[in-house]
Amino acid sequence: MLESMKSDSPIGVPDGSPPGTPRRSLSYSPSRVRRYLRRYRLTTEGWLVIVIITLVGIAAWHSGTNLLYLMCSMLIGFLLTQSVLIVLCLSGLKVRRILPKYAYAAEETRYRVAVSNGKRFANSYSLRLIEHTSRRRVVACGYVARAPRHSTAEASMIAHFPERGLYTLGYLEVRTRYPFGLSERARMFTSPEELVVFPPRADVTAVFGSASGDFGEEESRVKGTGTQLYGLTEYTPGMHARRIHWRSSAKTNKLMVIEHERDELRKASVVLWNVEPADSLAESPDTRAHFEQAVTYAAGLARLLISEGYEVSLVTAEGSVPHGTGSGHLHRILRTLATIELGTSARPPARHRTHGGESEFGVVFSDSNRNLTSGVKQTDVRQLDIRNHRFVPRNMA
Amino acid sequence: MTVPVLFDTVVHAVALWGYVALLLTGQLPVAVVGTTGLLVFPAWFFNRRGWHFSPLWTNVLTLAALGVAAVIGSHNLLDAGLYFIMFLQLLKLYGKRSAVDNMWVFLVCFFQVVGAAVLTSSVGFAVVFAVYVLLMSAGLILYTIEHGYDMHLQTAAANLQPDQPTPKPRSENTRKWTNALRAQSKPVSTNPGFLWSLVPISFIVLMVAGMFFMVFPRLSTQRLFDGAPPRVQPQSMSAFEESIEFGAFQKIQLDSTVALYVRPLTFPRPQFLRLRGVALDTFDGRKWTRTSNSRPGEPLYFQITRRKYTNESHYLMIQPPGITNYLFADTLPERMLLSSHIQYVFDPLSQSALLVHPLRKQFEYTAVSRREPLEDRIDPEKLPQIAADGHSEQPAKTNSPERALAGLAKGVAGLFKESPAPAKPGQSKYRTDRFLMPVNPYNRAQLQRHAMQVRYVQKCTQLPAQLATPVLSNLAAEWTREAATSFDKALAIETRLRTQYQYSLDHKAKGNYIEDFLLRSKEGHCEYFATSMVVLLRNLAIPARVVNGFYSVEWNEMAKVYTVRQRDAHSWVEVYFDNYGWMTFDPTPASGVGRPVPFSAFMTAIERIVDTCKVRWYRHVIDFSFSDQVGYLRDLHAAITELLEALNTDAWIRIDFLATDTGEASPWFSLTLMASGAALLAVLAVILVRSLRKRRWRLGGKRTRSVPFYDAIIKHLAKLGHQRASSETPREFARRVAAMPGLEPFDSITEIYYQCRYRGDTLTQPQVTTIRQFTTNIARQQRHPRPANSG
Repeated sequence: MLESMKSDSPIGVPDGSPPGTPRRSLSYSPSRVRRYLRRYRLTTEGWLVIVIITLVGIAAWHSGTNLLYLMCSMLIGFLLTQSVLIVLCLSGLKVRRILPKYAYAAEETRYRVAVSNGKRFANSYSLRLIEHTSRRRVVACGYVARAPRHSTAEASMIAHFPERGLYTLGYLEVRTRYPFGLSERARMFTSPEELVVFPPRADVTAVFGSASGDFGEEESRVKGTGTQLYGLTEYTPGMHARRIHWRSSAKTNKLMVIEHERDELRKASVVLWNVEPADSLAESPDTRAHFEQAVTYAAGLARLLISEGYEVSLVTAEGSVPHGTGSGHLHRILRTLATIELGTSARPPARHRTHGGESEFGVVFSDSNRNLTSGVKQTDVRQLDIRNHRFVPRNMA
Repeated sequence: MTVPVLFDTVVHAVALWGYVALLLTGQLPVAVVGTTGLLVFPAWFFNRRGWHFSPLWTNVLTLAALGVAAVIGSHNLLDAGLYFIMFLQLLKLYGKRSAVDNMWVFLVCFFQVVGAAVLTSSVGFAVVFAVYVLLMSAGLILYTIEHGYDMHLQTAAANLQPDQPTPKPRSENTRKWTNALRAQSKPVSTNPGFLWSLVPISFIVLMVAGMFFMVFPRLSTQRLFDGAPPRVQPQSMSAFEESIEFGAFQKIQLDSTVALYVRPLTFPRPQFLRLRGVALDTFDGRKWTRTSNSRPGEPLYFQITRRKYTNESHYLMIQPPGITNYLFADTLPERMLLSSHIQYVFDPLSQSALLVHPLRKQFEYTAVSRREPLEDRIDPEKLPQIAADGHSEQPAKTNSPERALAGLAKGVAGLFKESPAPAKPGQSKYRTDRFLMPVNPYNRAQLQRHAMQVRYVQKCTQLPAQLATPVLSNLAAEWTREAATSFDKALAIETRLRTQYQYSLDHKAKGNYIEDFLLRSKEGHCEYFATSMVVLLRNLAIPARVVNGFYSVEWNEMAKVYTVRQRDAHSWVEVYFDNYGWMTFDPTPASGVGRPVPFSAFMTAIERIVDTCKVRWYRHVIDFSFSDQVGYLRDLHAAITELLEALNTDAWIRIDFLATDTGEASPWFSLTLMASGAALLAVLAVILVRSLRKRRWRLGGKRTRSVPFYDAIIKHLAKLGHQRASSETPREFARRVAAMPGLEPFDSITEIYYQCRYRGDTLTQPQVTTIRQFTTNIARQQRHPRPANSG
């Protein structure tokens, strides 16, 4: 459960007071009043009612018509009832986030927030939940029309994370205008929780597809149980009769059997050299934007390759994620890409060791002068042409 | 039911109620209000289908509505404004596009109800107001839910826009995203419990409104609305007009509409009321007419007779609007006290007071009267002469003529030098009447007034030609053959009519009504009797006039008022005697006055409850004034003072302070009752809370999520500085705490907690004792912390 913030911070502006700060006793102090006033504001409708109260009050005073006084009193009644019930509405609430393991940047994400109403007799209505990051940025919002007394309601939060990264969801603000919408009051709940936001899901098929071809594929020339033909050999007892190739047997008048090559997983590495490049890219004014685009493409490329059955590894300036496949491995790569930053220091290049020509490289962001691909045929290296949004062979980039 | 559907329905109900409020005032044409109001129904279907007028059309039609309203209501700015508001409401309904537009509907409806409040003071407004508060509460709550959901979608939509660095919730793009999100999600739904919750909320609003209504200082300038010319003439009540068609009472006496509420302010209350309204002097055979001698601003001092032999009685007259312009008072009015803003004229000859303009609202005034029981009348010629410097006649102690004569024999006569009551601000001044004063021959004004009075009295002997016939003349002479004085003659005619003629509301007389009534049909209602007596007296050259008013016996015990209805309209006679003035005669048989209410007991009870509501509405809402506020404050102050004195003098055990001299409960009796009630409620609340706490302890084992006694102990320990870390299990925490001196039992208590929490055990009595002792112990430690080096 998130703890209610007991600080002097105004609506939406947390002061970073540590959670678990002991509650002060219920007594008057100017700061309490100030805090209350900051979290309570009249809405446009509330100001309108005050203007009407003034006008009708003047008319009542001028004419001495008691029924106008009655109308005026009714409006005041609405305002005062609003002031009391709005406090009651927000009291006794506890909220708990039910976060997903990850989210993707630049797309709608949904998660749930459980709102528990601990009051014995009163329901809470019309609660707007607004999620702030520790940088005071609104990233998600939800709505609970009714939180029944002594019960829990769930809100579906509509979140949108514009950028990849590790987000700290710092403050959950609960706002309401119940019952009459004449004023608004907010209550802040603090409990920082982290959520990793993967790079945006970009479709790189169009970008990468033209250059892919038989990218990464190589004959293994080892007998096995694959699908490619390795050769024909004479039948020996013990071989499965189903493998007999009857046409060749008829030609040679001997029983011949088919032998297949061993299927090899195709391997690829995605290189994202997150060091500020020294070549022409570095002259670009929006290197940062290019880097982000490269990260997006790297993530898209990793996703594409894994979905096509490649074993994919990620190579960065800080290290690498070894080859692997499957959604778990993809998340590992994406998690790395989510937090990767563009470094400025010239760390010694971590030369990526290849394993005897088993992998090929799709280099998406690197210094073109840097030799990262020793032991690999340069024609198998694809370099991202960031300006034209396409992958080209390394020697053409 | 989903919130949007319910909200839409409530919005249209609110709009419709605005029209109902205006319709109930009865001040605007039913056709216009009804037609525009009925157009609310199609608007509901219109909106449910998602249709709406375009903003351009709405603006054009608004301008057109403004023009139409200006034309229709050109005679009155308020009317024009209300017509415009009615049209505007329709445009707002038909042009509704979002939840915010509903706020405009509420706003316009509010001004419709404000317009109704300006136009009416009827008790029906109380119902309108209560229902309006309920509907507005429902509407605003649903608006909050619907608008909150809208705002949530807008925030989400603004947040979801990838190209917007700063979200703009009201941009067109955001609107598209909002609509897309709305299409994806299910609408918010509600349940019957929500609808029931509206009732207490509305009740709270009404209570707060009532409280503020009481404390608003009533300091008004009275200029804005009361100065406006009257919009409609009062309801035709032909018994109280300048010119009254003969036979009007027949229709009126079947009407049970309330004409007046009269609250006697002096004790004891009379058994009946004879309210004098208008005196009519000229009869042309078809209608009675009052010769107008009205003077605006003339002090409301009546002088009908010079004799004063009973105490003054004070009455609070509550007069609904639209009945008549005349002001009423018991048999012999003395004076009236009206609010200063009510414009009236007073006719000193007919002794009638009436309003210059009919008021749109109910109003009240105080009337001071003397009663003249018919059985106490004495021949003026047998009365001693009233001394020129006479003193006030002593009031009779009983109603018997002997006692009255005895009082008069003491030589107490005259009333003109009675000191007037001190004038209060805003009330008419009290001064002696002039035209019955002895005339100073050198005072021209007095002479003129005297001449006017002589001419008036002479006019009261005139007859139309068709009634100045020998037949009627002979009849009058025959009936009064044995009478010596004018008084005896009047008494003889009155007695003859009362005893030998029948009361009937059937219109049996034909042709020459009076002659036919007197000679042939011998049946009629009070108008026949009164007119016949006047005609006969005038045939005898005795000045007489017809007086129209009310005769009521309908006492409402709940409201402490006489309810005077239209059907209580009555007609009687005043006869003029020299040196005495006008004397009341009532020739109508007893069966014709004070008739019982022709309803069942149940209906009568309902009617009286309604009347009580009306009176209380008029008294405590419509006419609630600054003096009432001061009065309440004084009552409160007196009650508190009395209470303090009673407490100081140990006299509080006496109970005689609960009643005042009049036998009614003293004001602070209610206060005592309320205080006792509040104290009782507080005690009950404390008992309830304590029992609930105990219940929670007892049922600790049945709770699955937490064990209350353990939670309480944890809180106490936290205050002592032993806070459980989030990584600690209860047992680990117990081991740490139990190592402290004085907190050893916490280990075993934690085991009890485990048993309750996870095995569902119920606490046994020894366990409860252990827990209580430990809790008491740590609470004591909390109050008296141990020194640091004590252990």
